[in-house]
Amino acid sequence: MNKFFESKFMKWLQKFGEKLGNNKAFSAISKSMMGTMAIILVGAFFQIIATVPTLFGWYTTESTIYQVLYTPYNMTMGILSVFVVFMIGYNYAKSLAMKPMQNGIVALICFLIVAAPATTVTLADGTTTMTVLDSSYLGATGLFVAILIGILTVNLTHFCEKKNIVIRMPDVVPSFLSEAFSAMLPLLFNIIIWYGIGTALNLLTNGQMNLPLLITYILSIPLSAINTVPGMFIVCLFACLLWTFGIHGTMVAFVALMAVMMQNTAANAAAVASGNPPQFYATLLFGAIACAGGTGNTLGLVLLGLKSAKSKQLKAVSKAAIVPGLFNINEPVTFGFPIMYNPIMAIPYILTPLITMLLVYIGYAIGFFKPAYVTIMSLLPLFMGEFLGSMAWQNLFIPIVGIVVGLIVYYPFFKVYDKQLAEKEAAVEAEKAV
Amino acid sequence: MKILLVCAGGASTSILMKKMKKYAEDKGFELEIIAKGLSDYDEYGAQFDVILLGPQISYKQTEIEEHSKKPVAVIAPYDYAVGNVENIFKQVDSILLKNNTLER
Repeated sequence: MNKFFESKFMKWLQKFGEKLGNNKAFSAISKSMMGTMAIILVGAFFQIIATVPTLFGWYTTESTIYQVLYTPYNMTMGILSVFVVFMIGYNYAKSLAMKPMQNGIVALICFLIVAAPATTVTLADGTTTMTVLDSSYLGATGLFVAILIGILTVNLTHFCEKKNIVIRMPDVVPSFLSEAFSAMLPLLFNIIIWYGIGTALNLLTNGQMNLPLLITYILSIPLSAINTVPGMFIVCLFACLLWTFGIHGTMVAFVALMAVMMQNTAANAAAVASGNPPQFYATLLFGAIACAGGTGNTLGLVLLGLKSAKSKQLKAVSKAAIVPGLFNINEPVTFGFPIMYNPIMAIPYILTPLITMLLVYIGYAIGFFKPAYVTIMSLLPLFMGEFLGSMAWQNLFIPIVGIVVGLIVYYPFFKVYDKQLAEKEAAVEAEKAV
Repeated sequence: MKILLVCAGGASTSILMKKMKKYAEDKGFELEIIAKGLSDYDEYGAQFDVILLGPQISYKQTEIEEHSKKPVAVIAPYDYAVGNVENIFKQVDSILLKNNTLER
């Protein structure tokens, strides 16, 4: 079994996971997405407050009160990409030892110029004119553009600085002035390039196409493969395999998935806001890999350990792991049982989420589970995420599926491993006694 | 002593943080400790003597070392799992000793 971890594929996977996790652009993206957690949660809070009464028919989604309650959502989740692009510019520049704030602003300007250029429109009354920013691409739909522009603008500025393409001031000029000037050229280049691409695209297609649409379209080709049920199984397998090396696989997979997940949930939010039922998207299944006690749905395993562990190690670990497990935190399990570099436990650790996912998928397919329409994207205690995301009591059964599958799948492996450990411990004790 | 704990989201390290605080109180030595996630640890790094990482982000050690210019260590997986605070403080002591900054 140890040969499995030594195999070429597993070695490659480990290297790949570590490399990806250490890549500066990738780090900046994942850091920025995590940085938006508070904004997303507050948005979800208002979305839930606005939507729940409509479920009971107290008011409709057309009513003024709904619109009033929904506005904070529109100004948080609804323009999420604005915050993301700034944070990516900021964090990526920081990791390259460049000026964070300046680069964040450059990224933000370039994003706005492409995704929401100011236009003057005349209102339906025929006389009032208004200059507006269209927010259609400022929310989850614009995430890919935000990520791309955040990274590329910083890269361009980095290139300018490296090649010394900056305006140099004589030494007598105060430093704050010369710094302001030094920021000019990269900003100018960035605007020319992004505005140029955006405008050219618009002119060439008679306004049919814009950069956000084009990027989403191009990316939809590889992403449509992930955004399918088999694709989700592969991503899940990948995430769990990385965890068996002790690498935070869920986080790695999450960075690849989150933009699609957010777009899908936002599409469902829009559907619910206009009075339609939310749709099923394959990305909803991702939740199934960590629905019961953290990645690998280890709560079942912890319960087994609490109830019947013979070895001291598993007893101690299960005790330490149960409370965090109720909050879907399972590092005590991963590093204490341990799961990592432990072939016996790695097998059920990978099988449990896959089987849970399959059952959850069946649940969605027969219409029992309800698709989520509230973006949460945060670590929540057991049952909370599934319920708050969909506001459906049926979804409370998703964690239950995870626990039951965990109990069954982990059981035989747990027994074998526990026995091995107990024997080892006894041998050590006996040696001490002599 | 001042310790910064870092893990992916700052959740699992915050459990450990509480245990370490309690241990320091019981033993009566001064301890300043916070737990942060990867997204914002670097705002705090400068104020601490040592940065300890959860094993799940051990691959970030070099990057964090370069960034913070502080001694960075990965907590031993089993100690992390069961919250074996005594061992973790031993680990911290040996790091500080190596850097000649041990005060206690």
